[in-house]
Amino acid sequence: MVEFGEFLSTALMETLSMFGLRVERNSTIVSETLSSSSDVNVVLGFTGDARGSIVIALPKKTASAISTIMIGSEEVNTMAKSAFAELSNMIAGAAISKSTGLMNLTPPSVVTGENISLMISRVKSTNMEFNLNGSPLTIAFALE
Amino acid sequence: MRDGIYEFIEGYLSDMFASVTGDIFNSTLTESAIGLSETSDRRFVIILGLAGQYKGRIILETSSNTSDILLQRMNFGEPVLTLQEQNLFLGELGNMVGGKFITALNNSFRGLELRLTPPIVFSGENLSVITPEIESIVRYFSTDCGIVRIDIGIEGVKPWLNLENF
Repeated sequence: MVEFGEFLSTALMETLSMFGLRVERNSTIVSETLSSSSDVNVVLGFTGDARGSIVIALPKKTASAISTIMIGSEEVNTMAKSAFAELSNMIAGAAISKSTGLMNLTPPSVVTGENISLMISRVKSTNMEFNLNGSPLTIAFALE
Repeated sequence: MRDGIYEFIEGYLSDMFASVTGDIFNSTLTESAIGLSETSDRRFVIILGLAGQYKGRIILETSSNTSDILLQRMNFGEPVLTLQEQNLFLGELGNMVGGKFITALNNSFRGLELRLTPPIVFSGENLSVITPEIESIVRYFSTDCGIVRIDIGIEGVKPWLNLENF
């Protein structure tokens, strides 16, 4: 579990650096459920030797910052959501390829809205918090 | 067995949903031409991922009112009050629907080996769910709890795709 988190963390930093974005890792919190209340959430699942879920959660400010770099617009529109999905696919794919197990990723879904509450799993989850030029970004995952 | 997955899903969706939720809704399900209410209302969305020879996802969506009634039915008449409990119940509903769906698909198309990911339950206002590059089949079902939306999409599975080799 710890190892997979490190793979995800490295994959995030490497992938964002391809777009000239630098992120710093802040803290890692283990919680009883996998949850999020961010405005923009990209969710991916995986099955195979391990089964679980990954959530990349972005407040609007962070989503706009990434969107500006990736598509040249700070508006979180359909094209931006597509870009977030592709970015998340790259991050999750890189992390899974580094792990020893055989796993299949599901397509990423991008969920946006207001006053969002998300619950994925009752199993313990790891939440890794990052700082992207002063804006927060969280990657959370749970393995069942 | 039908030739293609797309046609199979189209033909099977209504029966599958009815067989899983018939006891809960306690009424005959009918396909509805009317969608959900205003998007600004609070909604519940359940997402289940599919992975195997193909990738995809199943999305179930209801309004908050429909969800309240549905959960009370699932909880033997007792209201489900906390958001965490609501999420757990809806996740279980997602598992039931998704499990039934992939079992039927795997049995009908040998070699697909589709597996489900754990359900993800969202609630919120102005909710929007986008899965890029996936065409999906969307149906609305009218129940005595309210309207439920089902959206099933599998990468590369389109009306013209023939899967005789499976």
